[in-house]
Amino acid sequence: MTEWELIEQLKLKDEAAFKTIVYTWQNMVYNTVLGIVQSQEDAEDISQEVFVKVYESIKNFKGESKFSTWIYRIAVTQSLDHLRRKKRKKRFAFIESLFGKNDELVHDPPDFYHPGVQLENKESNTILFKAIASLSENQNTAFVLNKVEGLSYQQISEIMQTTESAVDSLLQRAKTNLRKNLENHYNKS
Amino acid sequence: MTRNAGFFTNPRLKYTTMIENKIEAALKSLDGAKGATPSPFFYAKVMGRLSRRQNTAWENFNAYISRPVVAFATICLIFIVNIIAVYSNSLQNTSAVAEQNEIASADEYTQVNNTFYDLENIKP
Repeated sequence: MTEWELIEQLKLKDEAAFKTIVYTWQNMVYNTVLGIVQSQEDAEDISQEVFVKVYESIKNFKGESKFSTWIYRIAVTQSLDHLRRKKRKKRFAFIESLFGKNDELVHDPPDFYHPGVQLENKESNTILFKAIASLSENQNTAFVLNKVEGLSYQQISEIMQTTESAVDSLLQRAKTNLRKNLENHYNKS
Repeated sequence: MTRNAGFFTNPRLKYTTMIENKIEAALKSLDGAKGATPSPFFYAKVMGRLSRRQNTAWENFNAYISRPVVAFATICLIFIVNIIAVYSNSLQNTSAVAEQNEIASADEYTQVNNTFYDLENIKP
């Protein structure tokens, strides 16, 4: 069955087509989400939500971009929404604690390293992901798509709906900022 | 040769190089990383989530009317209907008062006198 036939079947709410789509793209979605949200539990949850969104909004897919690009776009949007919600929650909890309404401490998430990295790189990878988390949303997304997913500038530009030169400049700035953050970290320790 | 000698004697240079190496190692830590995989029952979990999402018609209706846009539009509609009703009522009232006055004066000058006796003894 071709990709287009799968999409047409999914538009008819065919369960077998949906199963094929989930099995084909689950690793790609999970990896992208994991790179952005940096938590395995959250990544699992968001990835499930991405496929529910795919099922529900397949009727809106017009075929103007590749199907994988469309799925990537949903995954990135969902991940960034999650990060924004988390930040808002953290800020709200902090304000509540100022007024004495919430005595619970807001814990920072435990150190994250990508589960696929080699054992000897675990420590430096943890530090790298901490630095990635401090990047702006766009730089974070571009860096994860390029370094974790290994996508080309052209693919990233299609997902982020921007130009290749904009992606290039985003990645340059991301690398510069990462260097600065890492330098600060290593100078402190 | 001179450069190497500087490296071993200058502690500042040594420190900077060490930091540089660590930064490079961190930036390259993702090289050769294998892709992560979700849990083995990922598809089943997606299906579970999907079936929970497919609500009954009543739940869908509730969700629809609780949308802010729909709620606001309904309130506006009720408000407009009320204004129209009040306005048309006030117009009707002025004509109704005049009509009532006419009936009252007509009653006043009628000579018909209906008593209980008249009602009981209806003539053929």
